[in-house]
Amino acid sequence: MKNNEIVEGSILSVLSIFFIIESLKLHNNQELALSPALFPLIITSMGLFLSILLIFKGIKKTDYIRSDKGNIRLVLLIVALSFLYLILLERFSFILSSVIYLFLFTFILGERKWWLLILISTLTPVLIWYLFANLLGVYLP
Amino acid sequence: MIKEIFSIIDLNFIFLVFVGSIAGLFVGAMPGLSVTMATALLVSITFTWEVNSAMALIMGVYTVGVYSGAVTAILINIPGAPSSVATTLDGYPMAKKGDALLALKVAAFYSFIGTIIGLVVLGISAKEVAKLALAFTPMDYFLLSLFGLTTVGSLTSKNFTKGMISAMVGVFISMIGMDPIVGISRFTYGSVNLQRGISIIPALIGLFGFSEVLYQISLKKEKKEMLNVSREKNSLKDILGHWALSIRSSIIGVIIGALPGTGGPIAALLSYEHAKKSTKSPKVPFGEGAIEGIVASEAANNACIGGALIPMLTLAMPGDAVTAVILSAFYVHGLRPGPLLFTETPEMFSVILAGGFVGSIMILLLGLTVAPLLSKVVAIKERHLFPIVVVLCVIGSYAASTHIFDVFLMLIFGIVGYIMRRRDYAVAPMVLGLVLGGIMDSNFRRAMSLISASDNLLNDLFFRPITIILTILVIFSVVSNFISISSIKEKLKK
Repeated sequence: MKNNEIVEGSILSVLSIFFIIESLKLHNNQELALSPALFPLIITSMGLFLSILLIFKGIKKTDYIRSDKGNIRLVLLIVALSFLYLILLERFSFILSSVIYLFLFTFILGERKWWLLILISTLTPVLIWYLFANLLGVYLP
Repeated sequence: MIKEIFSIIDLNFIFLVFVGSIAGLFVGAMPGLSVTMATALLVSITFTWEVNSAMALIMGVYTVGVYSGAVTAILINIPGAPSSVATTLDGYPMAKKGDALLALKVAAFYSFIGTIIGLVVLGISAKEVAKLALAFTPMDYFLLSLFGLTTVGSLTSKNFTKGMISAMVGVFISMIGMDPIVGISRFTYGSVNLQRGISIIPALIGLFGFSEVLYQISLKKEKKEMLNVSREKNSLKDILGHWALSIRSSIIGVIIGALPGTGGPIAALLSYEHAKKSTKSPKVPFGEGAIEGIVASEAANNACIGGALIPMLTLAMPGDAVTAVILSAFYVHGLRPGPLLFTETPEMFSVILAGGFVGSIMILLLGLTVAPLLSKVVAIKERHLFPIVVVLCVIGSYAASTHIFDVFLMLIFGIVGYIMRRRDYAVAPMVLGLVLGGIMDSNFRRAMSLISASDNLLNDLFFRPITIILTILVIFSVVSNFISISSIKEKLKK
C-alpha cells in the first residue's frame, strides 16, 4: 500500500527546490525590492515548506484508505485521442477533424449503434461550425 | 441608479440574458457540467463582442445556472452544481414523497428572492466599498489576495496543506512569461509561446471543462433513478410562507459570498444549519423533506452572486470561481475592475446589475415552467454529451487567441486538473492563484520598494487600520487551519 502524501510531497519538494534555484538565477544585481526574482522566491519557498509539511502529515498518518483508482485506461485513451485531435486540427479543417474525433470518442465511451455514431459525429461539427463561425463570428481552425 | 439600470434593458439585452439563462438552466442541471465551465467557454466565445452583450449572456448563465443545480438535487439526489449540496438534504426526500413539483417551485421562488436581495446589497454597498478601496495601498492589495487564497485553500480542500499547494502552483504559473515591472521573461526557457504568459482562458477551460469530463469518465457510475414530477396543485401559501427565513438566509449568502475565496456551497450549508436552529417546529423534520431546508439553501446560494460580485467589482478580487472567470472577462474586454471602475466606466456596474436582475426574472419564469420538464433533458447519455463538451472546450480555448498552442495548454491543464481532483487537491485555489498572481506580484514589489524608500517603514507599512485588519485576517485564517480548536483543547487537558 502506498502512502500518497509522502510520494506527492517528495515530488513537489524536488520541483520547489528546482524552481527556487531557477528563481535565484533571475536576480541580477537589481535592488531586491524590484527584482523579478523576489516574488518567485517567496512562492517557491512557500511551496517547499508546504510540500515538506505534506510529507510529515503522510508519515504521521496511520489510517490508510485505499484510493479508488477509477477507470484510468479510459481516461488515458481519451487524453491520447484529444492530442490526436489537436494534431488533426493543425492539418485539416475543423469539420473533418471533429467528425473523426467525435466518432472515435463516442465509440470509446461505449456507443455501438452505428446510426447514432454517424449522426452525432457529423451533425454536431456542422451545427457548431454554422453557429460559431457564421452566427457568432468565432474564428475556427 | 434604477433609472440607469432600466435604460440598459432593451429587447436585445433581454434576449441575450434569455439565451444565457437557457444555457445556464442546462449546465446547472447536468451533473458534470458546471456554471464555471460554461462561463469560461462564454468568455472565450464572446471575446469579440461588445462588452454589454457579453455580460448579458454571462450574467444569464450565472444567475440561472446557480439556481438550476437544485433541479437535479431534488429529482435525482445529485447536486447539479456544488452549491446545491444542501438542497439535496430536504429536496430529494420531499420529491420522494411525491412533492417534487412543490420542491422545484420553492427552489425557483427563493432562488429569485435570494438573487434580488444579493443584487440590492451589491447595488447599495459597491460604491461605498469602492471609496474605501481607493485608500488601499499596494500592501493591502497583496494582503487581501493572500487572504483570498488562504480562505479558498481551507474551504475547498479537505486538507488545508493541499489547498494551499494548489494555490501556490496557481500563483507560480501566473508568473510564467514577461515580468510586469522590469520586463524580463521568467520561466519561459526560450519558448516564444510561453513568452506571452499563460493565458487565463485556456487554463480555466482546461481546469473546469476538460478535467471535469475526464474525471466523470473515470468514475464508475451507479444508475440513479429519476423521480417523476407529478402535476399536483400547490397552494401559494406553501410556497410564499417563508419570507422571513429567506431574508435571513439571503443575508448569510451575501456575506459569505463577499468574502474572497468562499462561495455558494459554504453559504448554502451555513444557511441550512441556521434554518435548522432557528425553525422551532417545522411541519416535516429537517432531512426528511422540510421546505425550510430548500428555502435556506437556495436563497443563500443565489444571494451569493451579489455578494461575490462586490469584491470582484470594487477590488478586482473574485469572491468565488465563477467571479474569477468573470474577472478575466473584464480584463479580456480591456476593462479594469477595481475602485476606478466606478469612475472610468460606471455604466459597467449598471450592466452587471441589469443582467442579474433580468436573470433573476428568468429564474422565476424558467423555474416555474421549464424546470419540471428538465428531467427528460438530464437523461441525455454522458457518452453523447461529453465528446461534444470537449469539442466546445477546444473551440473556446482556440477562439480567444487563435493560437493552436492555447488548445494544447487547455489539454495540459485538463490533465493536471484531473490528477488534482483524483488526489483531493481542489482546483479552485489554483484558479484563484492564477487570476490573483499578477496582482500579488506587482503589488508586493511596489510595497517593498515603498519600504526601502521610506524612513519610517513599519509605520508606513503596517500601522494603518486597513492594513492591520487585513493582516489579522490572514494570520487568523492560516493559524485556525493549522491548529484546529480541538487539538488545543486536548493539549490544555494534558
